[in-house]
Amino acid sequence: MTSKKEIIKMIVPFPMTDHQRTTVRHHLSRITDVTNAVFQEEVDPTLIGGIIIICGEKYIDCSLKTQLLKIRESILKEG
Amino acid sequence: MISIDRSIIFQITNFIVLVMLLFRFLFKPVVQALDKRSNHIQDELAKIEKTKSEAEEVRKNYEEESKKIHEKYQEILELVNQDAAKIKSKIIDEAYQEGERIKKTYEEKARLEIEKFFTELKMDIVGISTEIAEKILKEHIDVTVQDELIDHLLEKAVSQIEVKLDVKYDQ
Repeated sequence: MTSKKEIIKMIVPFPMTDHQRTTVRHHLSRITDVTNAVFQEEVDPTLIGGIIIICGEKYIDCSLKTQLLKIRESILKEG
Repeated sequence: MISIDRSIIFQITNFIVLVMLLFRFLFKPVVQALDKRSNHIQDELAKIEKTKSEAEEVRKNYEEESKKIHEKYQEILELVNQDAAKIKSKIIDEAYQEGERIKKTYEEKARLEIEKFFTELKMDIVGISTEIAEKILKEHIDVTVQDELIDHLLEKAVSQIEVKLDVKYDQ
């Protein structure tokens, strides 16, 4: 009996290094099984920096683009 | 002896007769006519006096009526003045209220315009600031910074997920 492998998609502003891949695996291992997961990478320069991870139903947005948007919204809300 | 001329006697007789005739046919009617005239004048004077008295009565009545009318006129004038004062006060009050309402409306409009202006200004400033920040970040992002960002931001996000799940994944 074979278990279906989980697909973990990583979106970054520019191609990932091995160190970055290791860092991602290390952190994700705390919330999911990364040993049997299949990692996919996608480059989106509009993110500026950081990373977006789509792991099953989880959507982890750690991009600078989103951080900037949050800061902008909080400043406008304070008005 | 005194001799009397017959002609003189005759003349005296004639004179007496003439006087009697004059008294009978001339003097008496003249006196009667004068009496009648005098009575008529007396009657006319009495009528004039009566008319004068009536005229005086009419004048008094007229003066009283005139006084009453004048008093009534003064009362009406007073009422009209009071009403006019009330109407004037009401008009002034309404005009003041209308003025206040218009003033408030324009103040509210001005306040909204200022708010709108500052909101737009703030949005513009924030938009420009964000664009500048984005540009600066793009210029300064390199592999080292990206390594730190991934490590730091992912650590934070995963920790929040762990708190939400309230359980650590056990490998």
